[in-house]
Amino acid sequence: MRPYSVQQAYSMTDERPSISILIAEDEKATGDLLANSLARADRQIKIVYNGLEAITALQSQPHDLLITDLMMPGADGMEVMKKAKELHPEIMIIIMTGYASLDTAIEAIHRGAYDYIRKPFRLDELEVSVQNACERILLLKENQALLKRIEELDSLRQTERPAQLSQPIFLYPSDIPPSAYYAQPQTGNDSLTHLERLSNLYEKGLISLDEFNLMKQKLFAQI
Amino acid sequence: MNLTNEECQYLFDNLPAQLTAMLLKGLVHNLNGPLQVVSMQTELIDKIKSINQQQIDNLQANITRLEKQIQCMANHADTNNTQAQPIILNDLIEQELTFWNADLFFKHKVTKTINMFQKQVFTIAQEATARGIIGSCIALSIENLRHKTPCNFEITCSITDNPAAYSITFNQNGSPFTEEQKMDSAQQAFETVYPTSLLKKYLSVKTGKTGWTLCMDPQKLSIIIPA
Repeated sequence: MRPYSVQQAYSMTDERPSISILIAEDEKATGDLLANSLARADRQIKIVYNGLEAITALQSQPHDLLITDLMMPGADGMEVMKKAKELHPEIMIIIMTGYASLDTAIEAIHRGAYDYIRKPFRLDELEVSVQNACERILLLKENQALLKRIEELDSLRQTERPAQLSQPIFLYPSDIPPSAYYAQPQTGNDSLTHLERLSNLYEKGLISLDEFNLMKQKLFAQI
Repeated sequence: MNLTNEECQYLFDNLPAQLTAMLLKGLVHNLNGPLQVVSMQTELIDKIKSINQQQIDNLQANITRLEKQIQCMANHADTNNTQAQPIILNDLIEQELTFWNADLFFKHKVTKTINMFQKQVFTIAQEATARGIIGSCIALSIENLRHKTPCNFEITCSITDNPAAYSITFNQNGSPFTEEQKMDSAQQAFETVYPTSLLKKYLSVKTGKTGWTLCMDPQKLSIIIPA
């Protein structure tokens, strides 16, 4: 079984996982243009025009990425960001502001913002930031799915008969063709590639050292 | 530090300019909004190499917003014109509201109700002083609203017949205008943004010099302008 990059994994199916983006911008024209320019087939975009609407939207459903203005009526960007992190700790946040200062930039990053963009910005500049955030979100989603499957695999190993281990084992999200996941007897080369991939996830900070070690042990146990 | 009378007078006369300087960050913020729209719209047009009427309208609307903002700033910069001249009061109030939206607390947190004069009325006055008076009334209202939730602000313009005059009232639901701040100057510097006692003195002196009348009630400031 070959490991897949995020793009490779999700390109195996027509139905790519969708990234949910919430845009909070009190300038209606700016918000509409942002939504228009960031629209892609795999992105679901919702726009709100003040801070309170943003908080309500975050309470009603989880979002993967929040792009928020800093100065807005209702609740300002910092309040929205704080609430977003409380409700969905893994949400990625990009702050945009025309009221830029080093202090606010530092505060935003300290509070967990992924990026901070100063107005007026070029659309290309924002797109790079959004694209990087989306890439990271997909990696996180994949990582979560991997961890979940490892846990399931672990419990399966402990509870089921050895004969059942030849059943398909899904290591990736359900939208990837099952044929890709049939657990094959691992060869040394496969394990090496898996190990490289795990190291890559660890180096990018997407898994902790403990998680890395746990998965590594499980990998070796399968050889 | 003790200031000479001359220095005090200089600071007093230049109070509107000092307030303008304090609003600089907000003014930049308010310029950035329409500029961002123009920038993004042109970038999108450049990408698709075509333009439709909606995009043209969007560009024009935001260029008009930029022009208004710049005009407001230019008006405040023009302090050398000491000639009395006709001033359309509705325009003056609208420009001052646009300008004071650079105070982002006022822009985003205060609910505003504006009742302009039903018809265009004008008065003869020195523009910078008239602007300073209206602006100071707004600044005082903002300062008294600063620690209040919800914040309501209302301007009501009316014409009275006897005596013939134009009245502009500024209502707010925060701290009373008539209440003196019980703070020393150091404390005031930290807890208020605009110098309220200085603004009151400025209003009192400048309305007197212009021939206008200032009335101060707990929640209401009124400016009476002879017609």
